[in-house]
Amino acid sequence: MGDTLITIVAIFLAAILMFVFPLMTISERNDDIAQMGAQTATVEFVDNIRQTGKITESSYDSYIQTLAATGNSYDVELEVKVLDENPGKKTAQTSTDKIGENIYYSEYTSQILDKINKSTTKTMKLKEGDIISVNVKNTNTTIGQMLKNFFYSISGNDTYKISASHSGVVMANGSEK
Amino acid sequence: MKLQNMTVIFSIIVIPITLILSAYIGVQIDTVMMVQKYDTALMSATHDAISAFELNTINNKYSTNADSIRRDIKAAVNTFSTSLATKFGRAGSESSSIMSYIPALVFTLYDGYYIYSPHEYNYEYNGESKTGYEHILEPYIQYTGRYKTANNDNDIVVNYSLDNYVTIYGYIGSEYISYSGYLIDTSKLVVNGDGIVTHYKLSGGDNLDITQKETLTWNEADGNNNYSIAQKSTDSVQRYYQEAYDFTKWVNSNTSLISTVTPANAVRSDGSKYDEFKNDNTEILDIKSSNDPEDRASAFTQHKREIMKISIQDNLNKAIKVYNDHSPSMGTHANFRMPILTEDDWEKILTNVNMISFMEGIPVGTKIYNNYSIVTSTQNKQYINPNSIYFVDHTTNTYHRINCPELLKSIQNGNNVVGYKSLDFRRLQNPKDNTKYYYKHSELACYTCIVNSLNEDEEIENLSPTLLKIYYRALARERYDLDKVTKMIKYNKTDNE
Repeated sequence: MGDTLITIVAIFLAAILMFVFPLMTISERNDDIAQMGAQTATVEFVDNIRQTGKITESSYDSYIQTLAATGNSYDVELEVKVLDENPGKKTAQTSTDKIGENIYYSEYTSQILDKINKSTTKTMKLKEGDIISVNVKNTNTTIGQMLKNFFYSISGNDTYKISASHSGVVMANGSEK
Repeated sequence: MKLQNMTVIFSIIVIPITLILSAYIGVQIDTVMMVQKYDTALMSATHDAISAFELNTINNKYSTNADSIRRDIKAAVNTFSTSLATKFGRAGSESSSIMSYIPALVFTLYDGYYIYSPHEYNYEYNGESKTGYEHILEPYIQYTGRYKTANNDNDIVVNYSLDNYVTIYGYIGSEYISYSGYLIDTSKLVVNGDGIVTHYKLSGGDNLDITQKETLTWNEADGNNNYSIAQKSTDSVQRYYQEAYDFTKWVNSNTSLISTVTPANAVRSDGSKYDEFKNDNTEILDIKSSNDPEDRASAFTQHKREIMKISIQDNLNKAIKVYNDHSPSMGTHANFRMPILTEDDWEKILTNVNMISFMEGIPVGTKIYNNYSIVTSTQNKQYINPNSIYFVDHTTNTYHRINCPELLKSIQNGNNVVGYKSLDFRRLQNPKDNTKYYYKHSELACYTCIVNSLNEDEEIENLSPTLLKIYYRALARERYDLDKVTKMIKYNKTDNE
């Protein structure tokens, strides 16, 4: 009787050790690789915009495709902070210690994509001093997340596992070829 | 018990494999992430350096002077090393140590470039001698082509620039010649019987009257924080076209000069010929409408770009060789290979003022870091970029880009519109009180084309004639008013005898 019990426990242990543990570590690594892919693609996309001053349809498409190649679905958020220097000019003189001369206003994903689609060149141009930032999160549940939830379920707001973000000041005027 | 045995053996084999594999992948991921972080750090540091360069040159009256520009570039290098060191967590007294990973920094300017790279130094002081390697700013290297005929009769040097400005000097036989100026397609000019240029022909069939003087308006600051409006009437436009016409005519009349300056006659500094230009006998200084120096596809521009590219490549290779040979004495040890610059990168370098930074030798994860970064400067006193001229509408007190629909409306309403280089719209330091700033042009930026960039591309040639007129007027004036480092007066030995 005792022998049977040990056998059953051993089979359970064996199953966990033989299948679940390797599967979990590998799927976690898989998520890490997807994370790396997403981060690399995001940094490349953003740095390219910073250097050229342009968001083009083709670069956005290839960015989305690179993300999709990791095998997950993503929610991509773009934000452009447009610099408006005019308020600072409204005073005849300005001193070095004066703050708040420059004002930024934001445009978000849907507005940016709308602008790109409406233009004949399929481009949105930015100027030097604007700020671009991109955030991505996965929207599906990866195998890693599934297994984790199965064994030690942590419920809460943390519904994404893969996320990447990058931002920076635009360094070139898109209107100057 | 067979099953348990097999389970144990299986686990012993599989678990370490999984662990090692995942650790390996982890290291690889860290490497890639780190490389990326370094790329961004390098790019940001280069951008910081360019910003410092722009800020310094804008507020430096003498920034086109050779000594003064060296000071501005050294300040930019300083900003670069401090910024880079801060990003690597080495700020403070350690910040100069990061420079041992920098094989070269290149500043490409209007008619040449500076290389900042390590060199051997050797000095004696109080009987003590010291040798070592240190980064120095090399002398200015101009974009120069030297042309010699087969029998060495004619020996001509041509200094090129980012636009159509050239300086020519050397010997035609025993006669010494020198002259600087803008090369222009003279078929686009209307010249009267006395050789005076009166009009410039625009692409739409309309003519620009260049004899008309312009009035420029700007703000001027005094020491008491009062800002007054200054005005000046200028004939720079006429001077530009007249001098360009005279210069081009001089070049075109000198047949032996034209026949000497061909790619096949070009020689390197050691006297050897370029492999790239074998048997290419195109007369690149033979300026006509099919060889318009302002046209990107012309023989002149093509050859100029090749010369500029080869010059930068050669000198950069030399600098990097020195770095490679002596990197251990600077505390790094690596066999640095110069990364191949892409066509896009060359396009940037050959059309604008840029800074190129190379970084190499830092161990990252499983690799050794090796990359470069190029950042373009759009607002400096070195070069007038044809795409960065803003047009002030004095009636509505706003400024625009040339292809802005609002600008077209103002012109149709008969408003007074004058173009200025975009640099003039930057905030400037008060020359009498450096705690105060002012704007030379306090007009407001247009929300259609400047605060929000226009997304449509329009070729300048396709614009309406009224727009073309103010555009060419502004471009000619700004080009003429730009201070050039190399400016040679006309010298023809036979002329002066």
